[in-house]
Amino acid sequence: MNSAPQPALELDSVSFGYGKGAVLADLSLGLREGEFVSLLGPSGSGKSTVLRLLAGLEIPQRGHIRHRGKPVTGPGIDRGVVFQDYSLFPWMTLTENVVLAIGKAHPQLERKERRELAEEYLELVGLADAHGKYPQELSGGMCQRGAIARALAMGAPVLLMDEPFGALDPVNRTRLQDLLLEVWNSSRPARTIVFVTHDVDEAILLADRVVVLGACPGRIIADLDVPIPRPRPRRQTYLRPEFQGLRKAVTDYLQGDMLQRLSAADTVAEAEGI
Amino acid sequence: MSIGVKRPQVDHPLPLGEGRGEGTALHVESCRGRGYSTLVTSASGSVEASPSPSPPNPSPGGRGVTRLEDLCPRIANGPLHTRWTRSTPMGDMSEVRASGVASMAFADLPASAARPTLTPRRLTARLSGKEGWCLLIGLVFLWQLVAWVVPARNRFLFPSPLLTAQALWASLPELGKGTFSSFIILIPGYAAAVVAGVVLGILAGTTRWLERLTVPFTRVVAPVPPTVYVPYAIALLPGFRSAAIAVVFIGAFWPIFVNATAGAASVPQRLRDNARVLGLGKAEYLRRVVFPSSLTHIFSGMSVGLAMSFIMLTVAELFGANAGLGRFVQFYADFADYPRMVAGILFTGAVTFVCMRALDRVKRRALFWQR
Repeated sequence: MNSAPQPALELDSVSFGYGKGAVLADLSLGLREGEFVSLLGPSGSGKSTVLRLLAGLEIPQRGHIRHRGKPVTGPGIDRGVVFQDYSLFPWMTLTENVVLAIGKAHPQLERKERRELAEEYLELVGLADAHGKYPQELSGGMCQRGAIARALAMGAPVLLMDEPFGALDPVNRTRLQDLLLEVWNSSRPARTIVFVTHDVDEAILLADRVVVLGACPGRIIADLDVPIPRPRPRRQTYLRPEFQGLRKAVTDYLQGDMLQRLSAADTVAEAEGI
Repeated sequence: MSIGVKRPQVDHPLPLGEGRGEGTALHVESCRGRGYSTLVTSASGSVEASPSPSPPNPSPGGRGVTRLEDLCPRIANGPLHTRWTRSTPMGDMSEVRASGVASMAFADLPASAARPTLTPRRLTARLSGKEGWCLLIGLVFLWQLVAWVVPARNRFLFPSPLLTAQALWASLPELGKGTFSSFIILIPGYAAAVVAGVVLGILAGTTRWLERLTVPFTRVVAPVPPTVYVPYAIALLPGFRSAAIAVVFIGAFWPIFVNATAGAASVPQRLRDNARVLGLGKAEYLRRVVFPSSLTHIFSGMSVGLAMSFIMLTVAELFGANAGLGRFVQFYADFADYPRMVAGILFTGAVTFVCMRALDRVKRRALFWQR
């Protein structure tokens, strides 16, 4: 057992549910340091729940979650989170939002240094002109850039992203995907990223590894490596046979899961005489 | 710079954000905001912008923006199908609406078109937004009518508006002093209630055991009309002023406390998640997340509390003050000087109104981030 490298982030036979219904059943998943993993699944597959568990926002009913070997008992600034929307506090300017995060991550910095660092990160995500703006003055794409800047500014080695581009238009989505890859590529040591999405193309394009979840209860139905070398220019990548093969495999897994659930539902309905 | 518009459509603002279409109206609308305004223009191809040194006429209502280049430098440079925002110090929180550009169309129109005949529809349009004033004028008129009808021997009980106005004018100095004296009670009582209500409310709304501790107590004590404490407070506390401040405090405290508790208990999940993810400590969480998030609730509590504190103030003054607004009304009622008494009531109403409006302004300013 000692020969295998310790996973950076690990779910160890985790079960979770609200009330009686099980959201996740006995789910195990290990992530290597610096790995970019996409979590893909239909709604109700508990992919957001996995992310919340990793973030420490939820506590599993059974099983363990470990980050670099240490059990996760709550949220920590070693794991940055980007939510789908509303990640920023609306009563603070972008800079204030980022400064708040920096203040927690680097308490030793002076006020002015925090500000400068925040502005640096905002520049990095292409928001150089939006320092003093409030989130509601910005478009959804800009808000997500701000949220990413905040997560980056925390300097966390792990980035947990819950459908971060789900509410964006296609153009902004593409831009932010590129931005995310750029940031991930340029940082050393590379951050471990868990990226929740329901977009198959996005999942494959971004990740080293695509984990497909099935629904009711949530469990892993496929764990596929993405053998496409980086950088991955969009157009060429979409045409690659590896990409198309993966795309088909993932879609088949998702469809198979759905059909299985539908037939199970029919069986239950018949058994109950409906 | 002026604008020539063929067939201008006045009083027909396009909705925000609609930039294209066959219409011929050029419409500029500005939204309120703090220190900035969002301006959206929509224009059709038939609008021409040409430089001219004379500023266009002011809009019919006498307000609005008259210089187009102040509003929109890009229009002057050509693009008409444009949607843009820009930060402009447009002044206070007041809403500047439309008519800025419609009026510019007037500059190029014959005078007859600029002064349309007053049809019922136009009249309604012109009065819209001023309904409150219409009602007020109507009520004063009704009052005068009733005062005419009332038999002569009851006139002293039912003074006409004119008589009341005279009494009001004559007693303004006394009312001014009364206001001052009342505010010396009102301000400390209310301010203490706001501070205590907000601090304790936020703590009670976020701390489980404190909530369990206070909620049953609140349920029993908060609905007690605080006026019942007045006689006892006067008996218990040294001096009328401290007693009055105490009852104002009690009156204003409960609504603020109850609302602050509700606001703090209903911080949206996403904000709580965010705060936890950032690793905010309890104090920082309360100050930077819970407090701003519950401001809406807090302000509605503060409005109710302010109204309550005016009630408590006047009631307390009826009991034992030697000055103040409530005292003024009581005093002249005792002497059957009803014009003065009615003047005092109206004046108290006006003071309350002004205070409520001021609070409303503070609220809009503080909640600038809510749309």
